[in-house]
Amino acid sequence: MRINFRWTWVEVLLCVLLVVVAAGEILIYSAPVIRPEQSLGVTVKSVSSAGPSIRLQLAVLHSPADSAIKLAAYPLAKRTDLTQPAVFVYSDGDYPTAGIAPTVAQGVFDHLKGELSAREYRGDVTGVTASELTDVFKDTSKASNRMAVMMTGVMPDKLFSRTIDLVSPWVQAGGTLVWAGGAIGYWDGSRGQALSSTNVVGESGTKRLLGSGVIQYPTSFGRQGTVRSDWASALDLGYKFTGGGLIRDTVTARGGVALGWYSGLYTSVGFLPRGSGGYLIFGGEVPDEASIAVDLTKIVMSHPTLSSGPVAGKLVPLSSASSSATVDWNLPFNAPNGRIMVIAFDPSPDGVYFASQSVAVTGS
Amino acid sequence: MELPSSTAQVDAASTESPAVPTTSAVGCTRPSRAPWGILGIGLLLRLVLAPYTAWNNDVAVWFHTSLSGYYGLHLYERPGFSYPPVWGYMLQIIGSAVRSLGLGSNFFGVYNPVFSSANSATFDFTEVVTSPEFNVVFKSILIGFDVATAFLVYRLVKQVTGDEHKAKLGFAACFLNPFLIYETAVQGALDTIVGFSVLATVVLLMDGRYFWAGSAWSLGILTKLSPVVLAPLLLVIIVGGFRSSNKSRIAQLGFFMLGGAVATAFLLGPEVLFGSIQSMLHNVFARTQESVTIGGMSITGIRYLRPFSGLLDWGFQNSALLIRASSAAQVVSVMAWAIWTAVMARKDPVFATLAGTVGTLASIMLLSPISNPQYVLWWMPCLAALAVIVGKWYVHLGVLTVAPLVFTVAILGPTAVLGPLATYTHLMPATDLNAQVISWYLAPGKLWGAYFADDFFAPASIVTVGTVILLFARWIPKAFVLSPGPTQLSAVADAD
Repeated sequence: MRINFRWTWVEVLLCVLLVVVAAGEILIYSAPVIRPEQSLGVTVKSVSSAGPSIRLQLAVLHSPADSAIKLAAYPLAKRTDLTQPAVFVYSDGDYPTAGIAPTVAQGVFDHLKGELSAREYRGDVTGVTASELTDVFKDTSKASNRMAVMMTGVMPDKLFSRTIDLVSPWVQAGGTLVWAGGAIGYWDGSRGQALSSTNVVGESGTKRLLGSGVIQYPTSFGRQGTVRSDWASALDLGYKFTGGGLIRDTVTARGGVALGWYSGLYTSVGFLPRGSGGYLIFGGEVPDEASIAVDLTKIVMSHPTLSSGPVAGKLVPLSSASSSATVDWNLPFNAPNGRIMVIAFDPSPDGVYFASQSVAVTGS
Repeated sequence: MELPSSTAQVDAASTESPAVPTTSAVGCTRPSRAPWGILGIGLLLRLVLAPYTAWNNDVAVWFHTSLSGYYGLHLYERPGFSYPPVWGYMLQIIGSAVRSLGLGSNFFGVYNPVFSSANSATFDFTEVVTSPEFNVVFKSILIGFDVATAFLVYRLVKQVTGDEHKAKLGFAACFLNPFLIYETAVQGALDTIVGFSVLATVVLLMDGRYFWAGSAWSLGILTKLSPVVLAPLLLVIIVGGFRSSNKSRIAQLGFFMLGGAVATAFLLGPEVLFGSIQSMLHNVFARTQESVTIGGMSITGIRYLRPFSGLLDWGFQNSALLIRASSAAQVVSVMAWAIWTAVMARKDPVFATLAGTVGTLASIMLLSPISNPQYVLWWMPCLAALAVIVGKWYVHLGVLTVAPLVFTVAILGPTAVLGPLATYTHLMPATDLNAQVISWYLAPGKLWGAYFADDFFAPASIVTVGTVILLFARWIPKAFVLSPGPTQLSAVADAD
């Protein structure tokens, strides 16, 4: 007797699986399917001054799947440059890190690039090594439209050390440096070597970069903010570590913005202007690159550094019964320079809709 | 040499001659029904467990991947999904379908801030909690692969032994396997897809269906890369002439490669079309460049014993050396199993093929710097089929079911998978779950481990490694002892 294996059903199963999976993936990115998935849209219908406040009316278009939209608004300062800068994200496996999880250095680049791309950011996002970042910092002529992201807790010694400082001139020239992983300027790091006591630049390093009275020494590892700032509330920012965070009163006194969560004097995220540029500091360790990348994306896309001070936020529930909604919103501030920034984004987890628009206030 | 019922050889003529009786004909002499009862029990168990359980550290990735589909983003546009695309496609299709149905993004789950301290204390727990609905939907796909795998075992055992009872036993050994149930219905692990593809590859190859065997192999590789290590073994099986055929061996190999290429083209087509190949490669391979931690179900699991706890730091500090040594050992083991299979197949091709497959994949697991318990699922179906065919090694199969299960549960304690239950019902406060996870994770060892979990990890890991080595010790000599010569599968069927 001979045996005949009967496995045709396996072949059919495999065939169906291959076709359905591949065709399904192609189908869901075809234009007719994609269009309803990117359904949210916000239009400013009117903006008028009403004494100490601003009356804002918005039209929201949405699909039944959109359950809410988050709005934020702030008055613009004189500078209204809404250019989306080129972003350089530092990651170099040959240099030591501090105060961050092992995957963060590379992960921040991956996530930031992905989050910005998902929100249709127009600027370039590039990963750079220490050498490449050195070239970026040396070219101060282009600094004003560039942002360097260093979430490694350690400055490469070719950029910053007891005797070298390529950072300050670049920031003074208009560059924006984003930092996380402990107090900025405390560590320098040498290629191929673990951190040791010889790499401590210390408090003097922090003061050289930020000035005095901005970060309190000794720093406090693990400290977290418990109270959301208006900005953190408006943009749904989640980063809470304040161990090496900026002193918020100093930040605001020097024309900066406290964006994060507060623990006493400190803010978990803050922007400190220096010269024509400034430092955006995440004030502590980075256990998770994904959430900090989302926070940074929201900050980059909403231009809080252009704010003249206050900010307001509003969560607008959307009804599944209709495809549009009108929102009337009284903003609790006026616009001294005649313009406000209106921001709208999808507050759902992983939501990608994000729009910001500068609009003139009539009657101001 | 005693191999009671596996002494079998597949004969191509049997598949190509309509005149000869088939296994189905053998089956017809004993009226029987497919194992619907076992299927029902297994499905019921899974569907009860699926909604309110999940290993949130893994399913958080599934959650984000489905959300990417929901928001119309390409699979690798956002980082996070660090596997080849097959499972990601399925999750994205779920996401898109949910959107098309007009359901909100909360269909997939929520962030539960109560779990933030467990997250920061363990790094194995996240605030993402998948919803019962999403759990049921994505786990249903995995359960579908469980069903397909169990039917593969059922058909294979029935065809080889002609014994309906044994076939049902094989189905039960696979489908009611507690570890498989836990991984699929509770954890939501994708490794069951790999297990299916490996067994499908082997079975189709044994039957001379080279094109579809190649397709099944590609499906596995494009799910989790690991089946790629079977390449030398599969080559040996194809060109070794275990099976008489009217096709030349070159043609057999050609059909196999063509099947693999066609499946790969299908499955990578979307990535090529959307220009995402570079992103895919980055996401899939970036994780291998990190420093390694050691342990799990590999020989490095010895580090859970207190005297060897320093190995963890040593491994982290010497990652490059460890990866080189591990890779070299894996290459040697893969080649050795291919050679063993070539020798053994002259005596018993079915046994050689199944044992060679288990040996290759299990060796890879043992020799990796770190191996997750679910890697056992890559070869568990082959082992279950082999054990039932031969009528031996049931104890080994049992041990290799219980030990990985114990290890898995011990990672963060038995309640760690109840995030959905604690978040979506009032049956268990989320604060209690959070506290239990932290307490379990930080509890000091009471027996031989530095931590309480290590008290479970050490025996689970050592028993797993030991049992696999014992199996190898039984199998390997069989290729090198005198035997009466190959027995035709037809002889087994005739004897039946």
